[in-house]
Amino acid sequence: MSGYDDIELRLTDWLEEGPVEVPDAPIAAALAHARAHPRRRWSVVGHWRTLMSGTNMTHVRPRSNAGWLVAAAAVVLVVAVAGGYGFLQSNNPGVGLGGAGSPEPTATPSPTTTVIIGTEACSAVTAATTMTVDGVDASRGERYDCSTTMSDPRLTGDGTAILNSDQQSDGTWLGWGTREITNEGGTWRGPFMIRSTASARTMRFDVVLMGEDGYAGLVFRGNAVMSAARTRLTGIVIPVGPPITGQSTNCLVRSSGTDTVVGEITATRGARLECIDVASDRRISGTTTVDINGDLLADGSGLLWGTQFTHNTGGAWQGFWLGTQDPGGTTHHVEALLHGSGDYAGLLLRQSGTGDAEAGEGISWIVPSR
Amino acid sequence: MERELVEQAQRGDQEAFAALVHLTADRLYGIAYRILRDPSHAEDALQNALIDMWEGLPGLRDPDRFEAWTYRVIVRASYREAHRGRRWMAKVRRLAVAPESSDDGELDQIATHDEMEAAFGQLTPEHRAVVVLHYFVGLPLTEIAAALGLPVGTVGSRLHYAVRSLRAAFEADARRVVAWRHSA
Repeated sequence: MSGYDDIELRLTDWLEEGPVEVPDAPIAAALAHARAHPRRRWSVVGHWRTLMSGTNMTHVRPRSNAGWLVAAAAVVLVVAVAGGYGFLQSNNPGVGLGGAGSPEPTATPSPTTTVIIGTEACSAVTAATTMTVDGVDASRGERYDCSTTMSDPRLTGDGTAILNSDQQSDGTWLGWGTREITNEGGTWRGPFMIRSTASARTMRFDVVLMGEDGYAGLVFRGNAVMSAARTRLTGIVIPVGPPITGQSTNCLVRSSGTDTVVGEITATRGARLECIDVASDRRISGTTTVDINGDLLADGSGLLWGTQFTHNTGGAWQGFWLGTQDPGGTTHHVEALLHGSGDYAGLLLRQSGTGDAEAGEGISWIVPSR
Repeated sequence: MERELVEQAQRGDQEAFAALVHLTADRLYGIAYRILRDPSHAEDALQNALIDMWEGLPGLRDPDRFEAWTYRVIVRASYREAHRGRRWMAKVRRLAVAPESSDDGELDQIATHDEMEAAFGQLTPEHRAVVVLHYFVGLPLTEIAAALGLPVGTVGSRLHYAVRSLRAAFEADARRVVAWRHSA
């Protein structure tokens, strides 16, 4: 008999065994069923729920319970046909493509966006360097060559992913890095961060890749479900508009964090800055708290990463950032991916900047939901 | 983004539905397999669940509850599959030929696996579902209750009974081993 003391631990371990990836057959059959049994786009029941949730509409005087349904459906159909499909999408006055000198966003109804699905497979080509810092197993710079196949050929191609990770003694796992996809039309590039556990069979995370070259002005916004064998990607390609420029950041150091020397590396954990951000788009101006971690060599160069929280009267942006520091230890290059809340709910803020310990400049894109 | 896909799929957008399937199928299959303990049954349950999702999506009032709703759908599909009464295939674990200095640890792991398989198989599908949602998916009892439309007390009771049954099965097996060693 094994030496486990707790039946629940054995049960948990046993449940971890077995498949976590489904064969294609049941999926194909279910999608075939959906194609063979399409739902009426203008379902009265579906619209009724939307209407009752508070969407603006013109009310029709009811004659009876049944008549109310029929009358409401007629109004919905008339208004929807007149106003376009966008009428029944949720109103989001915050949606807009912020650009330099345009602080007031305008809601822009958009047509249905095609959802792109596909998979990617990656193989490691460069081993990570590893170390242990305060009980945390750190892995840095593992490089993967990846091949991505998507339903939209613009997102099909090859590329690289760089993965860094920290694994805590309790099994908590944090991974971050950069990812790109390249083909004849151009390149898609962006940072990613994954929060999971070391024993997880699958990991889910946001994917936001900015287009370059032939794809400039576009962004792929989606998410990934990663398992040992493959990664499934789902998302949309949408225009992102010109970046927000004219941004400046001024910071004060609130905490220097703690330093641990591991071989040639000084591992800094938990430093904190408080900053005032000023941008031409006031949605991203405000007060920012930045938590900083770094693995730096003696010449001051190395990896940086952490979290960021920006807030103003309209709402907040919260998320992660990653970057590098140049030799000399003053100039850093960072990229951030933040989720909006409040008036900015549903939006993503993608930032790219260069600065030193006290001030910096950057450009930003506010990525709409569609 | 998932909320937007749900709303699109509710309106009949098949591409959005395909994307939701893409995102959720692996997770739901993992749940079905662990309830039914057979890959072909799990595939059938998943297929039926995905069809139920297509048909039932317009009735989902709160798109933010989509994930919890999928748990209910897959569990109910697993129940139907389990109660269908099909002949269960015997599963024979193929053991590698062990060298003379075989690792007793591997044999212990296999024994534990088989014991757990046998004990788990004695539970009803309703008890297995609660165990899987709690110990595999990691849901607290309140979320399991909300997902399955059950009182929290019922969920707690089923979980307690299931764990107690598993523990009793292992303790009974341990007593058999001890008895055999004494008689040898």
